[in-house]
Amino acid sequence: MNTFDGNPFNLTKANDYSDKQILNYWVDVPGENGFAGMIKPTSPMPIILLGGKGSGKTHLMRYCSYEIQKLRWPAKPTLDSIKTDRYLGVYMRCEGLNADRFNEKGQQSEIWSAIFEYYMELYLAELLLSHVDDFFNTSDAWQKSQTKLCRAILALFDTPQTANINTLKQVIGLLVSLRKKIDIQVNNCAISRRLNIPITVTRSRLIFGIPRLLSELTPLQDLQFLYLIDELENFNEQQQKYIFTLVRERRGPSSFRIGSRLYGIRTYSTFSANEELKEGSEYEKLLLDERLRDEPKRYSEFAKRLLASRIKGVSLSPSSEDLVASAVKSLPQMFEERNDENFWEAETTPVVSKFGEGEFPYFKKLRQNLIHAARAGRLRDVHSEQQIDRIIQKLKVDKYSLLEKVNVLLLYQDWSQNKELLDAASTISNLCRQFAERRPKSGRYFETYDHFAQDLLAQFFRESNQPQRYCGIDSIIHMSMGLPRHLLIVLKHIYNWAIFNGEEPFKSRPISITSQQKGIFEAAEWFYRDAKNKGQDGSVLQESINRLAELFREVRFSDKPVECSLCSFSVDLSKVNTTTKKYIDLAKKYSLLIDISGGQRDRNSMRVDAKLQLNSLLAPLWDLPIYRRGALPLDPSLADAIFDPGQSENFKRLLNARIVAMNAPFEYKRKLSRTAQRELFTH
Amino acid sequence: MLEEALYTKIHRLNQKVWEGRVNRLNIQMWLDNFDGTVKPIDAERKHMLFLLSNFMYFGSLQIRELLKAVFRDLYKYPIVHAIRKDNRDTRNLALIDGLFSGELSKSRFLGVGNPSESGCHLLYHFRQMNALPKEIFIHAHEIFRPKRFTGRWVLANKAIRRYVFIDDFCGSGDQVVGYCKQIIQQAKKQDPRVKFFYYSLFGCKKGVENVARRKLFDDVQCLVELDETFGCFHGMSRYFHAAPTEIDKGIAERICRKYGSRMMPGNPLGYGDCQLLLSFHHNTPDNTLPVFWWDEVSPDWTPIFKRYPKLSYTSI
Repeated sequence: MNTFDGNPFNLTKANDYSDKQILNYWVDVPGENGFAGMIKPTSPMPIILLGGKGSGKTHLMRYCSYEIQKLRWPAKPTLDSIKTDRYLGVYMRCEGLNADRFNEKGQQSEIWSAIFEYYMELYLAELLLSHVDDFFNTSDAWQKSQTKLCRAILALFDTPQTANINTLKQVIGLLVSLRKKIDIQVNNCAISRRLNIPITVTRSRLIFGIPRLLSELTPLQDLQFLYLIDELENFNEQQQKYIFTLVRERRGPSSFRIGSRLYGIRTYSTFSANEELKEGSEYEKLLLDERLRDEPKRYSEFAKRLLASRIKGVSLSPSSEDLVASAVKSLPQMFEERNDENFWEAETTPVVSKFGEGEFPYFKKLRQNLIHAARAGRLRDVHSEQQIDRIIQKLKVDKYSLLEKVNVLLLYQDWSQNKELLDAASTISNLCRQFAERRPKSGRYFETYDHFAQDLLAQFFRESNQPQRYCGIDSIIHMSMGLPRHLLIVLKHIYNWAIFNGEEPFKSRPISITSQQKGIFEAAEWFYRDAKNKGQDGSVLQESINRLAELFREVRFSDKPVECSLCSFSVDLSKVNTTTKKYIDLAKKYSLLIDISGGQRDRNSMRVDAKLQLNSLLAPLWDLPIYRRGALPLDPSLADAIFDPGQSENFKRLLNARIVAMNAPFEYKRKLSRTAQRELFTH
Repeated sequence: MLEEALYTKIHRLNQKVWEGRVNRLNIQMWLDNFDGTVKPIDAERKHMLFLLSNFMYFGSLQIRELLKAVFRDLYKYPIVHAIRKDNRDTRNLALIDGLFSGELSKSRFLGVGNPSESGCHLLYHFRQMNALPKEIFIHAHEIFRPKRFTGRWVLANKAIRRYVFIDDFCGSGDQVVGYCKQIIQQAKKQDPRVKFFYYSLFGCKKGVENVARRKLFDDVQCLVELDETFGCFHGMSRYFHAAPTEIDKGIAERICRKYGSRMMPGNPLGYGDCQLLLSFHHNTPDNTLPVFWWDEVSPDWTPIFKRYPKLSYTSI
């Protein structure tokens, strides 16, 4: 047997789950009535569920379907069990319809629209009635009202149907035979170039009429009939328009939950004079992953329960609740973590030994920078190698490489302001000693340490050829950014690496940092490659993300980064070109970029710009941080160079112009100040 | 960094192709065999890790699919082709099926070598994958029977027109020739119309040509032919074209030759000097570099793709 077969995270896609797996793998979010509080299955208000790939839409919608309702009930379906739920879910996947068949083949688009609507009418009615038949089969009382209901359903048709129909099974048979006739004509239309399909029922008569009849003629009063239409992105514009028309025309005890990927909605218009569906009054929008991201504590708890249930191989039934709760509690101990207690020492010490007696790479680089600048006569007070030695000597702190990195950064900051560096080094040395001894919670040294410690540690690892430390359960959950599938995929790769590295994940010792790093990196590569699968736009997006990440990386690993924990940017979208806008929008829809609600206020104009974060799962590919703090303001020309392939040739030039002020000898800033001085004197 | 990149590649191969056969611990144990005899320990191990990252492995699923292909492409299609040709290119499926069944019933499938060896072991899966009746599988000794009264060995079933030998791997070709020569000569002497076929899943080009050149079989074919580029240190070797700068083909060869000569002094780079980097789900051929599969006490060695050797009574 392949040793990877036992990976509890192998299954990641709800489409691949059986009904039983949908139930078994179900994990609810804590509080506020869980996911039911979001999808509100008993509410008559239609809801459009939007979310990135893997945000859990399908799992949630299938969980509300009759097939799963039935599994949730303890025994055979009874009137009481369905009345407790107060709804009956009719689930359909748009992909299963092969909706692209209803197109072209020498026919006019309005003919296809009419046939598609008719087909949907029959299809949804058939699904609904098969659930009702399954449900009522167990009830004797049902036999009495069945004939009456069947006749009433037949009366909904515009053309008289055969009178010899007395059972629901026969009605379903009629619907199936009508639908098959359409299938045959549609499938052969490419050859015959003809369509001769008499439409026997007016739009929405069955979809809304049958629930009304069920409510009036059977004991199913007060029940909501919920049409769950999933993967709407597979419908073309005209077909989506039809669905939204149904949503607008909704009547009686019926409602809709419509699932689609973020980029899947082509229109919100309806056949009612092309008017758009109105959010708030005609439907509600649920942005699933955004909602989960916006509630990090709730999401974290949900994610931990999800992982715990997979690890324990149990569903979250009341009987297994204790088992899962204990697994949730022990989850942090199952992953080796960084030592955050005293990480300025703990994280760097193992690497420090690598350098032995030699000079550390950041001092080597500083020395080189100072020598070059001194030789060019660009330093005010440093003219000899002895002076450079003195500066470096002052910046050294025995054992604490991270504090040395802070010292070097502070010196670069002073250098960029054209200060005298010998004095600056003495001041920094004093500040460092005070910080190490007294640990003050304010002041220049503390603030620099507080802001940049993670970035400086990242620089230290990079300079030492060590992989960046992405590890710990909280980081892993954060990196999934509200997309449960990403979480499962990361864990899948981590588990595989742990097995390969000879560990016993979730059994005895915690999963090593090495296995976590490797697994996370592999998941990041998968997500990055996945972006390319979106056709030509995918390639453009991938290149745009490359450029954006390169900019972040250059800033993060510069001598004097201007922002800490940089993985987001702000931009005035009204000033970028339309192509840039298009690709930023697409990147958001594919979850490569995450919109930060509230935006970013521009420091000079107080204008509120759009603020976007690079998906944290991509961060390891460029050694970027996963937690967002600073945001880099992009001027429109740089944004265009990043996102518009036609402007990308300007990227390197604009990148260098942006970075030059962050790297010694900080010439750009100096030039600017000299120009400003000259201008001052000429006026 | 190179070491980690190689481990990443090996991990992927292990996950996707090698059926999870290795892990970092047994790789480490295998690398521990290399003690710095030829080059510093780190250099030796890095080179061996590189070779491992290029190792080819065919799992159970792939072998089963290849067994289907042997029957379909090498056995069935030529017969169907001949049937159609003899019947004015007929498309009558019922007719073709009927005539093919007749030909099949006049065929017998055999493994190469002892029933416990891999060639014979494959026959079980070959029968399963192609839904064939067990009556058409025989042991080599069942080709003949002793004649009543005289005791002379004659063809057991004169109606049989085809004997098809199925093998997993043809290295130098010497083994199959040695095993089948007498059988085929004896049978052909009794009935020259009887045809013999040799079909192998894998084969070295030289070995397959060697078998064909002897003209024992009426047809010799293999599905996956390994030319000289699969020879690890061959002048045309495919493995070192894009090798990292730290990896040197000459050094890798010296390492494998030195350690290999302790294992098989006459064949330090594998039987017939095939120099392969190849293993199957069911075994590793001895034509693969011995440093990968050697599992004997002298020298004491930890293999990474163990070979189950053909022990003879004398060696037991």
